[in-house]
Amino acid sequence: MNANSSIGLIFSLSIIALIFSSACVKPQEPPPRKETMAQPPPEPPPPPKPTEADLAPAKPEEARSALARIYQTAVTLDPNQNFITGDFNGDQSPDIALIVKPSESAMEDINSEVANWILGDPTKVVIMKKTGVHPPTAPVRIEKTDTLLAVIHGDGPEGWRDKDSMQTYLLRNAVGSEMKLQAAKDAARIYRNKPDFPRLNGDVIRQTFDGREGFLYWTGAKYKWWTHSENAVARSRKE
Amino acid sequence: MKRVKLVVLSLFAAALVLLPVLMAGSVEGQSIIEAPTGFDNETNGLTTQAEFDENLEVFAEIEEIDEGLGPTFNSPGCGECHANPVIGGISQITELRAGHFNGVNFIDHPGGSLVHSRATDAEIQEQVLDGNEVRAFRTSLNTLGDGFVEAIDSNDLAAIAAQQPFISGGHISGRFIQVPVLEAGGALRGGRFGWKNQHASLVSFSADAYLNEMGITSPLQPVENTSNGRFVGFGSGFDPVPEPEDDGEDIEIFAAFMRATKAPPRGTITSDANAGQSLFNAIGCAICHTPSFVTSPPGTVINQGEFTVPAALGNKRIRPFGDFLLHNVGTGDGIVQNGGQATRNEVRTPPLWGVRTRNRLMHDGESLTFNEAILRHAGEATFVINNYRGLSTTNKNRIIAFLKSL
Repeated sequence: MNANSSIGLIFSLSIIALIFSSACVKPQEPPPRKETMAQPPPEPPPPPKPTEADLAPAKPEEARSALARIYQTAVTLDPNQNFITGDFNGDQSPDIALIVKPSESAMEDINSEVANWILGDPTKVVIMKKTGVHPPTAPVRIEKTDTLLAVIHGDGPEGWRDKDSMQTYLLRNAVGSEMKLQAAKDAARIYRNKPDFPRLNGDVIRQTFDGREGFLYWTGAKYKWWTHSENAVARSRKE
Repeated sequence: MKRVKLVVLSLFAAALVLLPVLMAGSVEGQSIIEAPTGFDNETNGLTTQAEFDENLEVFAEIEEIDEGLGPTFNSPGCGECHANPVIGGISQITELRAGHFNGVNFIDHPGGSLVHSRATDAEIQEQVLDGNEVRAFRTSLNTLGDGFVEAIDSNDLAAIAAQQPFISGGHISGRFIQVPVLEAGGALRGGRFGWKNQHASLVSFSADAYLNEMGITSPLQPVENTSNGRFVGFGSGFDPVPEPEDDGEDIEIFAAFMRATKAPPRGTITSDANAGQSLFNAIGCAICHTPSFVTSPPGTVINQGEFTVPAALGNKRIRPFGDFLLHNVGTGDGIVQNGGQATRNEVRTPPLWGVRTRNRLMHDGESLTFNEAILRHAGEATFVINNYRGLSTTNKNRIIAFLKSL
C-alpha cells in the first residue's frame, strides 16, 4: 500500500467515523435536576441572661467610663452625676441614660453627619398611626448650651458595661426634672387606658418636662416624649 | 514526510470523532454569566418585550370594586407600591402591622397582623384595636430581579446560615426558614421574599399580595380579608364579587412579570465607592449583605416541582448584597408570620441592590440617612457596626458612597 492509498483510507475512515459519531451522540438535554430539601442549621444556644452584678446600679466611675468609651471628650457627665439604668429598648440587656453637657470644642464632631451617635429630639418625633407617612424632620442640631441625655444601649448580658456596647442616642429636649426609671409594665398599668398610649418596647424614663408629666420611650427607631392628660396625672399620683 | 501526514490526518480524524461529544458537554455545563440589569422596563429575556409590556400593564393596572378590589385593602394596584424608579421597584409606602405580645407569644391583631389602611366603605375601615400594643410599619420592597432570587437554590441559603457563626466569631447567625409553596399544595421551600421571608415562590408571593394588599381572592388565597375580624366578604353586603375574585390568571401574570424583570443596576461607581466596597467587606457588612449568588442551572426544578428554571434565569450571577436570611439586628418589629415565635424580632436582611432609590431606610423607613441606618443596627450586627464606628470620617463616607452606588 503506497502513501496515497493510506491517506485515502484514513480519510475515508474519518468520514465514516464522523457519520457514526453524529448518529450515536444525541444532543444532550440537561438532566432534570431537582432542588433538594435544604436542612436548616441547628439553632444557636439562647443568649445568657444578665446576672445580679450586671443589673446592679451604676457607680459614677462606671458611668464615666462608659461615656468616655463612646464619646471620648465630646461630652462630659453632668456634675450631679445623674444616670438611670433600665432596659429601655426591651432587648433584655441593661441600658443606661446619662445627663451630659457637650464640650464646646467638640461641637463640629457632635453634629457630624457621620458621628458615632444618633442625634434626636424626642419632642419632635411624630408617629402617624394610620398612614405611616412621617413628615421629614429637620436634622437635629446640638447647641453648646444644651443639656443632653446620652442613652447607651447594652449588648449582651453585661449590658452597657460591656466594652462592645456602643449604640447610643444623644438627645436634646430630653432632660426635665424628677427623672426616674419606670418599668414598662408599671407604665402600662397606669396609663394603658389612654387612647394614645404607645407601644412600649421596654422601660421608660419618667420625668416632668416643660411643666408636664410624661415619659421618654423607645419607639424601635427613636426616643419619643409622651405626655398624658391631667386625669391620668391625678390617677397616677393617687396610686 | 509520509509519517507526518499520517499523524496529521489521524489527529484530524480523532478530532472529528470527539468534536460532537465535546460540544454536547459544553452545552450541558453552560457558563455562568452576569444577570442583565437595568431600570429600563425591558425584559431580561425570559419573555419577549411584547409579552413583558403586556404583563407590566396588568401588574400596574388599577383594580375596581367590581373586579374584586377590597373591601379592605392597602392599594388598588401592584404598581402603586412597586414603582420607583420603574414599575416593580420600591416606594415610600408602608403597610401597618399590629398584634399583641403576651410575654411568651405574639398574637395576631383580630383579622390578622396586617391592618389595612383603606376600605371601600367607611363603616368597615380597620383600626388598631386596644390591646394590640405591637405596631409596626414596613416599607414596600423591590421586586425587580426577583426571578433570579427565586432561582437561588435553597441549599445555598442554608449553607450561608450554617457558615455565618463560624466567620463571625459566633456573633451572627442567620435564620433559614422553610415556608409553604402555595401552588405546590403547601410543600415547603426556603423562604426568601417579604420582610419576614414569608414566601419562597413568586406565585405564592403574588397570591398573598393580591389578597392582603388589594383584597382580591384567588384559588391560592380564596378567603377574603376581614375588617378587624368581622366578615366583610361576598354576602356581607360589602363585597359584590364572589370568591375567588381572580381565577388565578392575574397571579400567574404578576409572577411572569417579576420573573422577567432585570435586576437593579449599579449607579455611578466612583473611586470612593470602590474603596467603600472594600471597607464594606473588610469590616464585616458582607457577612449578611452577601455580595453575590449564582442561580441554579437551567432545567432545575424548583418550587417543589412547580417551576423549572429557564435559560434566562439559570446560571446567572446576581449581586443583591443580601443573604435572604432572618436576623435580629435590634430593629425587629415584634411581628410573627411564617417563621414561628423565635422570629418575632427578626427581619430579613434587605438586599441592598437599588438602595440608592430609597430615601427612607430600614424596614420602617424611619432612618433618613445612611449613617443613621447603619448605627441603628445592633444585636447580631454589633461587632460589625463597632468596626464602622472605628473608621475615620473619610472611610465612613466611602462606605456611604458605596451604598449610594447600589
